[in-house]
Amino acid sequence: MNRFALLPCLVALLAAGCREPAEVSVAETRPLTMRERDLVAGAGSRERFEEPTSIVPGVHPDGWERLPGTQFRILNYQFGRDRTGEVAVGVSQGGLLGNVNRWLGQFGAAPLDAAGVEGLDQLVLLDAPARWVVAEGEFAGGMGQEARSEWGLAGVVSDRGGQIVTVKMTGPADEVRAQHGALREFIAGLRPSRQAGQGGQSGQGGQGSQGNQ
Amino acid sequence: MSNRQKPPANRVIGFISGMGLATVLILLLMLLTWLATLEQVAFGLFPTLRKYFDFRELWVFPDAGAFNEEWVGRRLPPLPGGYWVCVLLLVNMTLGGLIRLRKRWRNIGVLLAHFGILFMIVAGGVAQWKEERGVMVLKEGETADWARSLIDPAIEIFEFVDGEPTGEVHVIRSPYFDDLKGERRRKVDLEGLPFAIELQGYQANARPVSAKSRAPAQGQPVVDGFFLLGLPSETQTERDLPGCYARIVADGTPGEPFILAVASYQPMTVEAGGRRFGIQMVKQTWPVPFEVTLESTHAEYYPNTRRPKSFVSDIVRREDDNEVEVRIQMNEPMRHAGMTFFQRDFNEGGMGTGAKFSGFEVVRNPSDKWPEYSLWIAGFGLGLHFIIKLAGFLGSGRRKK
Repeated sequence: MNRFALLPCLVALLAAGCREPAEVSVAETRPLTMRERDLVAGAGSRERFEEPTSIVPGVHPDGWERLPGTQFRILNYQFGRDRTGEVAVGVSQGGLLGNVNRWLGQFGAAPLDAAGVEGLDQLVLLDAPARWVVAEGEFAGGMGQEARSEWGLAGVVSDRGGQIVTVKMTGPADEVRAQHGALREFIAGLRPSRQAGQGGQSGQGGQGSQGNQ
Repeated sequence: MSNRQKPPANRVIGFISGMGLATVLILLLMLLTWLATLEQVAFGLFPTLRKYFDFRELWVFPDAGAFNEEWVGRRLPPLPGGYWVCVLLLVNMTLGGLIRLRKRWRNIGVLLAHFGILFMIVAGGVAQWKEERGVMVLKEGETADWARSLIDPAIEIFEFVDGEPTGEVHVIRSPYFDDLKGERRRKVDLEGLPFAIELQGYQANARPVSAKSRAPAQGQPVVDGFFLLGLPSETQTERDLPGCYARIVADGTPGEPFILAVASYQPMTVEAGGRRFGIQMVKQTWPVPFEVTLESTHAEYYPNTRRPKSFVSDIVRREDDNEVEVRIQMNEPMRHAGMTFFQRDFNEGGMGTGAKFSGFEVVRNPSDKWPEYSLWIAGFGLGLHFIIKLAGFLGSGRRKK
């Protein structure tokens, strides 16, 4: 037998050996880092691929579960025994006075005038002053929320040169009261995000940017 | 015995270890370095380094575009690849400069100098195979315990428990998927997870695009309203954002396809075995074994230019309840825990935030300090040789008198 007849077989064998496998097994792992801190479960394609919101949380209070954002909720959380408590960070219109009174009106409370709003506790939200609003009682609902009794509200409204930023917690009154401290801490920790696209597309985004670059 | 009378093997060894070959190789290295320096302006640093100095490149065809933009694409005569020139130089100097050199005390300086140069070439080889480069970009006041690769993507998988990433992150490095162009696909089994992941259609630079805003012109699959739009690679490879299509295979049943892309902001969430997992493609993450907080950063420029005179970053390094304040600036990196943090770039008031950012190049290289040591050794050797020669010269002069 011509010994060169084996050559094509050898070449075929070598080629098969060089072919990339169709199935591989991988066992590499690494520990979690701060990079995964702001990742959210359940994000849809829009939230995954379109430019995200402009506010990111600095702290994540115990017992709060972050949910995907919505059209009106830049940041969205639920908390509490039955997961009926909600925290929403959003951008609104209508001025500081109008928003404070809209919230109070949802609990049937008397509206405040400008001086009354000035008298509310002042916190800092995203480096701007914000008014602390608290209400309890019969919640009339609205904005997709059901009417509830023995309900509570706490949050802040901030007028940032015409743009209204709100952080609103609603839920069972006792649970909301118990969360006042955590909410204040959460508000203090909020920060503007670097736009995620800047992260990798320019190669200059900060570590905290939401993008994967 | 003349050269022609020597056995062929001796002649070959004589050639390989000869001074002539050493001279040619050193000249070739100089030429390759010069051409690569010129060419990287047009083609980017990473592709040029890969082209000129990667072990896979036996031959290099320099591009005439290095000399004139209008000549881009015209190939110049080939040169041997830089990696293999270094290998030959290593062999040449080991044989000629160490093994065959006469071992006399007068030659000890030359031996040391040759050893220093060899040590430097070995350092380059170790760096070629073992070095990893990433980047950590921090805003003033921000803290991080991770850096990311500049180039290499990875697919990372972790479990969500109560909405929070939990446990360890499973990592699929790019060699497992960066060859999956077109219809090629590969199933990746993940140890300890109740599913495998099937990957397909990798693109080195791509963006997920809404099919409502732009129709897929090349028949790309549309998944949940988005498709992966392939883009040409950037000159600066670190700006490429890879992507691919994927689907999980649980209990032998393939799930719905989804897109994985570095240009995304949140992971894909999948459920398998009654558990929820996040899957994302990222520029590969490097956990850093300490926390770095950027306290402040500033830059100075030469008058009336944007040419940097200095970038300075004051950081706090936190590790096991110990805090150390460190200043990192150009040419004064921070070395700690096998990593070197170089001041890479600086951005003041960028991105419309008014904030200051500082970028550190994070390098893991076991041979990081070897070039410095090799220079000390070679310098000491040459100095010693000079002193020995000088002493010999002065001694012979005295004897003549």
